Amino acid sequence: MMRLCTQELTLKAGEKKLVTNLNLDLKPGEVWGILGQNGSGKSSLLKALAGLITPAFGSIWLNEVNLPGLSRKVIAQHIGLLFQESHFSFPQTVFEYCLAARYPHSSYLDKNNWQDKRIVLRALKKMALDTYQYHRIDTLSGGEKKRLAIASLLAQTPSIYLLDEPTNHLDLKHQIHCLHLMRELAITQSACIVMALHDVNLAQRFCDHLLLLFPDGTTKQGTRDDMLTTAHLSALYQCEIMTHPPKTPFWQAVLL
Amino acid sequence: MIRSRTTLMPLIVATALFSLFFSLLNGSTSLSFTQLFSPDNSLSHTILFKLRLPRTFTAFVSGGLLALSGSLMQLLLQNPLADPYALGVSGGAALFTLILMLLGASNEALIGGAWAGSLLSMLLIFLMARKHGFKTHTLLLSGIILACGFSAAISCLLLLSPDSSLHSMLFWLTGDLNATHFPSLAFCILCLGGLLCYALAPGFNLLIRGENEATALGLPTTYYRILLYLLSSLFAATAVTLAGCIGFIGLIVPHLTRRLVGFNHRIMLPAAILLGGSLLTFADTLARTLFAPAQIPVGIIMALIGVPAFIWLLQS
Repeated sequence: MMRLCTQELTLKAGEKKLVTNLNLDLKPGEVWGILGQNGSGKSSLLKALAGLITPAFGSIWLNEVNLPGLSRKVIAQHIGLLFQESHFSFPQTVFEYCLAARYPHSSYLDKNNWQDKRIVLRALKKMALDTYQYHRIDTLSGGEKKRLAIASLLAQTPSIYLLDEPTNHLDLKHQIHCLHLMRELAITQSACIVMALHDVNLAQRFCDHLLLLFPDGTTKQGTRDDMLTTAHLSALYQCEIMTHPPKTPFWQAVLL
Repeated sequence: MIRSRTTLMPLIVATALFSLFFSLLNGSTSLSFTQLFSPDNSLSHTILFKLRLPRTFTAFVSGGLLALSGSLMQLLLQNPLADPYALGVSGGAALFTLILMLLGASNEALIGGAWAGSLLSMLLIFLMARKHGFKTHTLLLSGIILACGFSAAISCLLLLSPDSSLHSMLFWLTGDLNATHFPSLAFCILCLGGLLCYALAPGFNLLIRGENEATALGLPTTYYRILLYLLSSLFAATAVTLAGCIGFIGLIVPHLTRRLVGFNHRIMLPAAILLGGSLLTFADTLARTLFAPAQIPVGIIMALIGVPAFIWLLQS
């Protein structure tokens, strides 16, 4: 079981401090949501957690090993990152695109074997893209491309899923389906899920823990119910926010 | 709907073999198929072993190198419009070769000059792009700037050179396959480089997805980009050294190959080598036979084939 921790993590964009002295402990089976305004450092934090950008200060540990001490391949075997926007400059087929995500689990001379292909097909099926497997990527819609990117992340089979706005471009049905799938991974496979979200209602419904990134670089973290208060959300988004009392144990509407 | 058509590979191999035989049999003097295996007189023996065989293999190896280099360059620059000369390798080679031609250097010296010029431009771009971690835009801009400089120097050289050497200089610039010996070194570079690319192909498949995503999926992208740069420049430099600046092969063949066999570089790169080799061999045979005994530069034939082919690829 993989565990990702940060120690006194500070991230900067130029001179601007995005995140200051963050101590985070991401355990298996937990579903985390990251909330914050545009430019508050949600994407940068996810990239830093995946080892793609170097923090200004502090360190990130994967199971007691400092992240820069691990090879890229080993990191990718355990940590998967869904980018806000994916790169589709060559018109590959849906299947070819997804199969490349098995790279961290294959050796240099190893051809993709039947097991990889089975995993890819299963991932495509989960995102309802299996009937599109021979289609060219450039024929897909924006939402279908997003589902493909998520399917590719599933095919990578990491134990820590970092998702940057996973519901972007998705219709309501697929938003709910995707987030349900992530919760299911956390429950059935003890995966750790970390999602940067803009929809507070979705965060309320699907996350157990929340990390709030305030505009001044400070952070707050805790359980969902502790974090989703009128005071916290108003400070986070710098506008007046009302929370409705819960109508069901699973649903609480937050109105902006 | 597109499937990865690995079943097309035997057909591609057959095309390559056909192009080789087609080139060996045809020319200003045609040979029969039986003469190919048992040359009956000294003339056909000379034609076959001293002229056709070296030239055919030079064309095939150059075409293969250019197609391979183009495929890698398009991957490196994340741009399907890139060709082997996009980073100015040909400019350096051309400038050095033309200077040596002007000085009346021997054939061997010309080959050495082309190598030196290509390696110098590779080194200059490498040094310029190093500071920014070999990012696409730095590589591309360094290449364009360098190519502009070389192009100005070449124009200046052509204007200043005497009429007597101008013809051979222009001939070389449009692509010249008048080789007199078997391209052993280039053949070794193609084989070894091809094998290395085959081993690295899974990483190349990932690099299609852009640098950030490839890194997130476990690829040491900076090393791969340096390797891609060095390999594609080395292949282009070797091709330029063999046959001058032949355009279109490095641009069209990768596109055509991807359309035929898909994006898996384990299949796509060998297929591109074979198709590139076949295309240049066919083009060279046409260049030798269309106006025989006169020869036209193979670069012109390639442009005549390449322009309509590219327009068709673009429109379909």
